[in-house]
Amino acid sequence: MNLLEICDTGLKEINNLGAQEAEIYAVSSKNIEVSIEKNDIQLARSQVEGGVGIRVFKDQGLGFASLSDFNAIKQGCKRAVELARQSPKNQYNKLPEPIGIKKIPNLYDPKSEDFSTKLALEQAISMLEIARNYDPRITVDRGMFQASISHEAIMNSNGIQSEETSSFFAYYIMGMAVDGQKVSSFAYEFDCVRFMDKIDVKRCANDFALKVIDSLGATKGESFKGQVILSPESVGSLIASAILFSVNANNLQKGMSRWAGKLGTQVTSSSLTVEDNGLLPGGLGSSSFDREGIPPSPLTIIEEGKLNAYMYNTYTALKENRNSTGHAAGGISSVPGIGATNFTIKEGTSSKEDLIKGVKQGVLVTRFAGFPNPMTGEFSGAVKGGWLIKDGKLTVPLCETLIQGNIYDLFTKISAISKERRQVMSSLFPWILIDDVSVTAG
Amino acid sequence: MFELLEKVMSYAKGWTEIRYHNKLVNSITIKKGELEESSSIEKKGVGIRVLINGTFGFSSTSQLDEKSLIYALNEATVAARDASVSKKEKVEGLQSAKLACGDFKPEINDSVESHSLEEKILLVRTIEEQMRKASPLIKSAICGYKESLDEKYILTSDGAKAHIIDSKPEFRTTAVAIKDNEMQTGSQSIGVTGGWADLFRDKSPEELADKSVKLSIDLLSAPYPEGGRTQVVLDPGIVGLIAHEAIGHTVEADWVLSGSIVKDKLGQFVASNLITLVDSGPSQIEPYAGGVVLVDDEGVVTQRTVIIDKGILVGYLHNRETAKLFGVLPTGNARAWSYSDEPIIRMRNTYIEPGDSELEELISGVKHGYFLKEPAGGQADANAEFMFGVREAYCIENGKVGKLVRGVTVSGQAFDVLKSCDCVSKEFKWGLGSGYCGKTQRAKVDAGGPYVRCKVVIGGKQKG
Repeated sequence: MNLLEICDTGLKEINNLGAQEAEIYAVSSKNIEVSIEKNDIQLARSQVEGGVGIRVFKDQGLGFASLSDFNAIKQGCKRAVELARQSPKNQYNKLPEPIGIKKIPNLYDPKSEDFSTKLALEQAISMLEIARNYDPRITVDRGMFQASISHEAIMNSNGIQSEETSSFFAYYIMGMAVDGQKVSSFAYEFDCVRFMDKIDVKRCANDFALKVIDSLGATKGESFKGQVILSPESVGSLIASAILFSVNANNLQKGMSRWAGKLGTQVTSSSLTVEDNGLLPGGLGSSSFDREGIPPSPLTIIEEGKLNAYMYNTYTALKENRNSTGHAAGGISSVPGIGATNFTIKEGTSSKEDLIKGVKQGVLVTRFAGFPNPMTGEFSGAVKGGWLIKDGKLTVPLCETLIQGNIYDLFTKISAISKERRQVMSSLFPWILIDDVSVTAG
Repeated sequence: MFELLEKVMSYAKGWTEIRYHNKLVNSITIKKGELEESSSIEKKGVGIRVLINGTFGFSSTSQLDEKSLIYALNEATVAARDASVSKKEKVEGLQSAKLACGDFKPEINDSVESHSLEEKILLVRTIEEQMRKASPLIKSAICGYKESLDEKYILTSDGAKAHIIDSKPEFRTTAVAIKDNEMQTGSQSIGVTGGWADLFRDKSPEELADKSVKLSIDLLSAPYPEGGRTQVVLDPGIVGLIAHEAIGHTVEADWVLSGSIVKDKLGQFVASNLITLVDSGPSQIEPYAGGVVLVDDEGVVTQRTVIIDKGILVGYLHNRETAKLFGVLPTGNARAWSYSDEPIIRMRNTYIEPGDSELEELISGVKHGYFLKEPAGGQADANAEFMFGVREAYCIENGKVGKLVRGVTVSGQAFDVLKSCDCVSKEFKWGLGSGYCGKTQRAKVDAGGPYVRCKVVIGGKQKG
C-alpha cells in the first residue's frame, strides 16, 4: 500500500470538489501485541491498522474527516469538503508551505520487520516470570509487550510531501503484592525503545517488583505542610503537564494560559531549565516532520526560570504573523493540535540521595494520581507508592495520602533538582524537591 | 453484511467471533469565538477473535473484502496457536449464554441525524458566545457537541447473530473567569443514549452555560477546604463515580482473578445495609443512561447485574470466559471500543439504588462537613483505594449548606466509605452520561444514584 498515492488521490478529489486547500495525513502500522492478565498470557494479536485524516479549507471554512478504510478516501474527502462548506470563515485557515526536511536517523530498526508473535511472547513471558520469581507475594494483574512499525505520509495542496517509517517496542507490567492482610500499593513500570537490542524487560520487571514489595504495609502517615520530592513520573503528571499547557500557543491565544505576555520574565525558580527537541536522533518523540509536514524547531522553553519560548502550529503562528515552531501534533482522527516532542527538564546538581537527606519532614511521591487543572494550576490528588521522609530518611510507605496546592505557586518553591534523570516515554525528567506543600493523611 | 461474515465464518477453526463495527463520531468545538473542530471520524472494520487450544488470538482489518477478512482470521488463528504454547492455564471453554439474535436499538427520540450540521454549529456558537458575554470576568469559553453513532453486526460460531444500532450524543460547556491574578473554570457536561430531545431533556444548553459561568465566577473568591476525614453528602454524580471507579473496577471478574480486594468476599458484608449496587446494560430507574449496552461484544444479551445487595457482595461482572470459571451466567460486560479492539470486561451503567430519605434530612444531620457536587474525573486501584476531583463543593455547618470551596479532591478506601453510609435519598439521577472509562481501551459509561451521606478523606490546605 503506497500512502503517498492515497494522499495524492485525496488531494485530486478535493481539488475536483472545489476546495482551495487540502491536507491528507495517512498512517499504516503493523502491530504485534501479547497481553498478560492474572499472571498468565491472555491474548496474542497481530493486526495492520491505519487510516487517513483529511483537512480541508473551503472559502476559509474548516472541515475535517477521518476514516480507517483507505478505499473510502473519496467519500471521506467529500465529507470534509461538505463540513468546510458549512463552517464559518476564518482568515487564519491556511496550510503551511514546504520547508526543507532532514531525515532524522535511528527512528527505524529494520530488524523489527522480522519481529514475530513468538518473539513478543518470549519477551512477555520473561517479564512476567522475572517479576513473579522475585517474590511469591507479587501478582501481576496486567502487562503487555508490543512491537510496532509505523509508516506515515503527509501531503498538502501547497506542495508538502513527506513520509517516514519508524519502529518501537513498548512494554509495561502492573500489579501489587499481598501478604496476608497486608496489601501493597498498586504499581506499574513501563519502557519504550526504538531498537530490538535495547529491549530490557528485566529492568522493567525488577523495578516493578521492588516497588510493590517495598510498599507492603503502607500506613496512613500524618498531615502537615512541608517538603515533597516528586519522582520523574510525578514530575511528568504535575509539573510538565502544566508547562506544556501554558506554552501551547492555542491556549495562550484563547485566554487560557497563565503565561500569556510573560515571555522574558521569571515564571519558575531559577533552577528550572526546560527544553524540547524533536530532532534528536533515535528520540521517542522525534520525527522529521510534524503533523503538518514542518520540521520541529528545537526550543529552550524555560531558561533558568525565565520563559523563553512558546510552541506553535501553523494556525496559531499565522495569528501572530510568525513561523510555526513545528509542534503540530495529533493523529489521523483529529485536526492538528499542538504538542511536545522530546521534552526534557535539565538535570540539577544534587544527587537523589542528597535530596532525601535534606528533608526534615516530607513525602516522596512515586506516582501522583489526580487531575491537576493546568489552567488554574490547582491540583489535589493521591500519593501512590509514596514514602514518609523523616530527618533525611525514608521511613514508612504511605497509603491514603493526599497532596494539594497550586502548581504555579510550586514553580517558585522548587528548592533542588537531582542529577539523575529518568526517561518517561519521550520525556526526560529528574527528581524535584519542592517546599510548602500541604500533605493530608487519610 | 451477515452474508459476508458467515462466509468468513465457514473457514473458522475453533470458537470464533466476528464483529463488524462502524463507529462514526461527529464533533463541533468552538473556543473563544473560533471554530476549532468540525469533524467526522469514521472507524469501520471487522475484528476477529478466535479461541484455539484454550488461548485467544485476535486480528482486525479495515478492508471489508472477503480476502482481507480471511487473512485476518488466519492471523488471529496463528497468534492463538503460537500463544497457546506458553499459556499455562488454558481457557476451558466459554459459558453458554442467552445469545442475541435479531435487531437491537435503544429508545431514540428525535434522532440527532434529523438535525442539520448548520443547526448544531449555530447552537454551539450561540452558547459559547452566551458564556463570554455573561460577565466582564469571563475571558474565554469552550462549547462542544459530539455524537457517537454506532452500527454493529456480531456473529459467533455458537449462535449469536445480532445487528445493533446505537446513538450517544454529548454536550459540554466551560467558562473561564479571571480576576486579578486568579483564574477559575466552571464546566458542565451531559450525555445520553438516545436522541436530540433526550440529550436536553433535563437541562437546556442555556442552563448549562449559565451554571458554568456562575461556578467559574464564584470559585474566584472561594477558599480552600480544610483537609482531613469528614462527613459528606454526595450528589448522584459523585455516588456514581464511587460506584464505578472505586467499587465497579474491583468487581470486574478479570481484576477479581488477579487478586482484587473483593476476592473471596462473596456473601460477606462489604457495605452498609442501605447500599444496593448494580451495573446494568439497559437503563434502570431513569431512562437514557449514557452507557446503555443492549448486547455486549460477545453477543450476550445484557441484564441488570446486582453486585452488592443490601450491603452483601453477591456477584461480579463477567464475560463468557470468567463466567465459566466462576460457574455463573455471563452478565454481558464484554465490550470493545472499536472493531480493532478485543472485548474485555467493562462496566455499563453503574449505580446505587435509591433509599427512602429526603435530601434535606441528609444535610440537616451533618454538624461539620461538605456537600460534594459534580465529579471531575477519578481513578482507583484494585485495592479499592480511590481518588477523584469535585467541581463544586460547599461547606455544611450545623445542618446548613454554606459557602463554596475550591480544588476539592476526595480519597478513601471505597468499601470503608460504603460502610460509613448512614442515609440514602429517595431521589435518583444519572450523573456521568458524558463520561468515558479507560482500561487499556475507552468505553462509554454512565453512573449515578441517590444522594448519600458518608465519611471520606478530603485533600485540603494544611497550616504551615
